[in-house]
Amino acid sequence: MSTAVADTCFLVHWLRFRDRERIFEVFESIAVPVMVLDEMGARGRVMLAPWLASRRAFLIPRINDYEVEALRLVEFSRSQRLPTLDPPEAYCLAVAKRRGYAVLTDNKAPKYLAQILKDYSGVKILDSLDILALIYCDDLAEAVKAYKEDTGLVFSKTRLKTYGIDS
Amino acid sequence: MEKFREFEREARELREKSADWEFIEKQPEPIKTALKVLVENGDLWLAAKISGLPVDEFDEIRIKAKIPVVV
Amino acid sequence: MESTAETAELAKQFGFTINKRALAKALKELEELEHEAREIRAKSADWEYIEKQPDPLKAALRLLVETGDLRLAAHIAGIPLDELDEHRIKAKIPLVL
Repeated sequence: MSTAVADTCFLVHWLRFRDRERIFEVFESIAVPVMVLDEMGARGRVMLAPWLASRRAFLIPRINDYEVEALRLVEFSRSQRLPTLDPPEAYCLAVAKRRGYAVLTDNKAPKYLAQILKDYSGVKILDSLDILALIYCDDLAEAVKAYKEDTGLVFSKTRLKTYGIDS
Repeated sequence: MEKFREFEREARELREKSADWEFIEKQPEPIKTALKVLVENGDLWLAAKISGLPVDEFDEIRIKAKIPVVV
Repeated sequence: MESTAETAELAKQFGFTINKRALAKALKELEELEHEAREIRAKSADWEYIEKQPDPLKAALRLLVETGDLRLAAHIAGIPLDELDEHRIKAKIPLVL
């Protein structure tokens, strides 16, 4: 099993989910950049603490090489019609590319940038729906319903159809 | 490795025994959770990060919570 | 608006190589998804709750309905992301993935 680096915009949702522990059926560990933890308030930190304490999650320090690469990605994304990459997402991308991690984010920009940039085509970018699909397989419809109840997230009809779910 | 595990177990027992749980339970989140993490695994840096406080400020609270750092 | 060729040239300046076909596909998909998402957010939002909030939180929630950008809205509100997310849920603003 592998490691994924998590953006805040995935963690704040996933940590609300009643079955959040099941992410460890997909990943052995979750890497959390310190800048991601810094974006979290009390609730998020309390929810994340058990994972950190048990070492299923670990903190990644600020590393200059990754920050330089993140800036390159942010600058490029700003000049396009694609959604702009935020610095923490860019940092996650840079770390993932170098370390062979997957990226967990519920924002669209990293996914689309990874599709269009050949250098990043090997980086797996997964959002909440992707993780639910990996965990639940046949029970996905129920899981999607539970996730929506817990997080207030909605999945696009087009995407749900690709998983055989008619919303 | 076995010596290390033994040391960790003793250290955790000492932290649990010494801690002022009444003080800990009165703290606002995420400081309360951070103190509990500190008692559990002794990692001051990690606990400070969870609390959102600088390490030295968190250490002040650690002292008030009577959680020893075991070396 | 940049063409695909312009984007490729710009990418080169940053030291990137782009997949032009993927770019065209991504732009089309994004436009469709964003249109659907914005409609869902605007329809579901509890505007009464939103209008009762003090600024800058009110402005942040309105921005969130418009753009779906949780991080930007949190910066506008000046609060941590998970706190803004609590308000998002109370304001019945769904995020659409």
